[in-house]
Amino acid sequence: MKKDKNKHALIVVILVILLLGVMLVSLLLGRFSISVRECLGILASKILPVEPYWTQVQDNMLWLVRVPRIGIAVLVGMALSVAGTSYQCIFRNPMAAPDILGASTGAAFGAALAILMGRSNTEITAWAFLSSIACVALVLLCAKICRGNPIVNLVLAGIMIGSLFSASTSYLKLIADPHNTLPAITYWMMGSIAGANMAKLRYVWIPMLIALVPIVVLRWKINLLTMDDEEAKTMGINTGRVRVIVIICATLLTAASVSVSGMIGWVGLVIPHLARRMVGNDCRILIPTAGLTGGIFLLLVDDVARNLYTTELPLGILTAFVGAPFFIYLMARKGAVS
Amino acid sequence: MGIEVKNLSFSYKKGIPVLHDVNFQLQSGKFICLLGPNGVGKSTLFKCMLGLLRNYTGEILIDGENTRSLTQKQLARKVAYIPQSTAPVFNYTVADVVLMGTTSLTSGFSSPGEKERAYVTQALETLNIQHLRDRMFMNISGGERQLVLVARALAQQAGILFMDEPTANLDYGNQVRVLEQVRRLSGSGYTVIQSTHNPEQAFLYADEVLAVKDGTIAARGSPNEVMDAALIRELYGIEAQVESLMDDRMRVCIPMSSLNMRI
Repeated sequence: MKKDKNKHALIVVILVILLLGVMLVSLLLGRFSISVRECLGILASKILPVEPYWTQVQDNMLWLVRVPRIGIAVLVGMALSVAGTSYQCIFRNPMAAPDILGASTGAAFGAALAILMGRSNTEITAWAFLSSIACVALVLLCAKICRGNPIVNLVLAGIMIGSLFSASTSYLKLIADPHNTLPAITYWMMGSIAGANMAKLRYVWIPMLIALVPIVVLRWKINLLTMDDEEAKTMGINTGRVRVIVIICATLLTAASVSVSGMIGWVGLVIPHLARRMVGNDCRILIPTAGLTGGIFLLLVDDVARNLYTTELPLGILTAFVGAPFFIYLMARKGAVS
Repeated sequence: MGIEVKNLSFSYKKGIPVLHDVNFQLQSGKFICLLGPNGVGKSTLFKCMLGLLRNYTGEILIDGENTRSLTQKQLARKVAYIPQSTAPVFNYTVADVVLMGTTSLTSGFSSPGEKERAYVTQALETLNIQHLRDRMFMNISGGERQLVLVARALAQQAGILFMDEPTANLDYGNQVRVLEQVRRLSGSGYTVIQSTHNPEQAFLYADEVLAVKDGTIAARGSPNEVMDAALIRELYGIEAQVESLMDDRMRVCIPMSSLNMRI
C-alpha cells in the first residue's frame, strides 16, 4: 500500500510536468510565429522587468489569444473529466457522462436562445450557463417527486428533461434565420473554443474552482457511494448529502465548461476510463489523475483543431473522432471497462 | 451493556405492521442466530437496529444509548453490517474495501490516514487473510470476499456485527470457514447477530436463538432449549425431527416428509 502511494504520487507529478510541457509547447504552436525565447520573455515580463526584444503584436498574440485559449482548453478538459468520473461513481454507472443530467442539452438551449435574440458573445455564455443549471435543477426536482429508486429516477428524469430541452432547441433552429443565426447555433453546438478570450477565462475559472474543491475534498467518500447505499450508510456516510453535493458540483463544472466551449462530447466518458486504467478506481488518486489527463487531452486535441488546417475544426468533432475509437480500444483490451 | 429492544413496531404502509411489539435483550460477546421464514421482518429488524429505518415506534438501546438520538456516523462506531454479498460496479483492491470501513473514524472531510491503515492490517491479520491485501475484490472467491466484508466490519471498530445470511451464496467449505472465523470473533468479545435459514448453523455456532414469526419474537433461548420440532413447524410449516448426535454435542434437524419420500 505504501508502495502504491508512492507510485500514485509519481504519476501525479509526471502528469503535472507533462501538462505544463504541453501548455508551453502549445504557446509556440500556431500560424503566427513566436520563438521559445520570445515566448519565455513575454511570459517573464509579467513578473520581471525585462527589456522587450519582441514586437507588441507578438505580445498581444500570446496574451490575448493563445494564453486564454490554452487556459480554457485545459480547464474544460479537467472539468469535464472530473465531472464524468464523479457521475460514474455516484450513479454506479460506467456509462455516465457529464451530460447525464442534461447539463449540456440545457446549455445548448440557452445558447441557441441567446444567439437567436442576437445577444453578444459574453451574454451567450451566461445564458448557456444559467440554462444548463436550470435544466439540471428541473431534473433534480422531477426525480424528487418520483417514487422508487432515487438513482434510477435521476437518470430517467435526466433523459426526459434533456429530450424536452433538445426538442426546444430543434424548434429554435427551425425558426432561426438560415443565413446567420442557424449556422451560429449549429457551430456553437459542435463545440469549439476558438472564441476564447481573457474575459471568458476570467469568468470560467471561478465556478470551476468552487465546484472542484468539494469534489476533491470528498473524493474518499465518493468511493463509498459506489457501494450499495445501505452498506455505505452503515459505514457512517450520509449518502444523500454527499450525493447531492457531488451532483451540484459536477453540474457546475459541466455547465461552466459547456458555456465557454459548446458541446464537447466524449472527454467526460473516455478520460475517466483511461484514468481508471492508469491508477485504478480509488477516487483519492483517480480524480486528480482524470483531471490532469483530461486537461492534457483536450489541449492536445485543440492544438490539432487550430493547426491542422487553415480553417478551424470544431473541437467536438475531433474529440468524437479520437474518443470513440480510443474507447473501443480500451474496451477491447484485457478486462472490462470497469 | 449489549442490545435492548423495547416495544419495537414498524410498518412501511400505515396499518400493516411488519414488526410489532418486539422485545428482547442481548448480552454482548454472544453469537446470536436470528431464525425465521422469508418475509417475517428479519431484514426490517436489522434495518431498524442499524439505523437505516428510523420511523419506528419503541426504543432500541445499544450499550444503554438510544440509537434514535445517534447520527449514522456515531452509530457506525457501535454496529457494523456485513451484507450477504456486495458487487461494486468498480473494482477496488481488498485493502481499499477494508479501508472503507474506517470512514466513520475520520473527521468530516479527511481521508483515512496511518491510524486507519493500521486498523486494516489488524483486521486482515485477525481473519488471517493478509495475503489478499493487494488482490482485486471482484477477482477473489466468494468465500474470500465474504471474509473481506467481515474484515471491513472489524476495521470499523464496532463491537456489534450484523450479518444478513452471510453464507447464503457460499459453497459448503466456505460456509464453514466463514462461520468458524465469525464464531472466533464472538469468543473474543464481539457480539454477532446473524440471520440464517439453516437450523444446523444455529445448533453449531449460536449461543442464543431469536425466532421471528409474523413480525414478532416467537421464541428466544439457547438453541438446545428452544429449537425443537414444534418451533420448526411453527416457523417453517415443516414436520421435522430434531435428533441428537455424538452424546448431544450436536443436534440436527431432519425434515421427516423428505425422509419418508425415500421409503
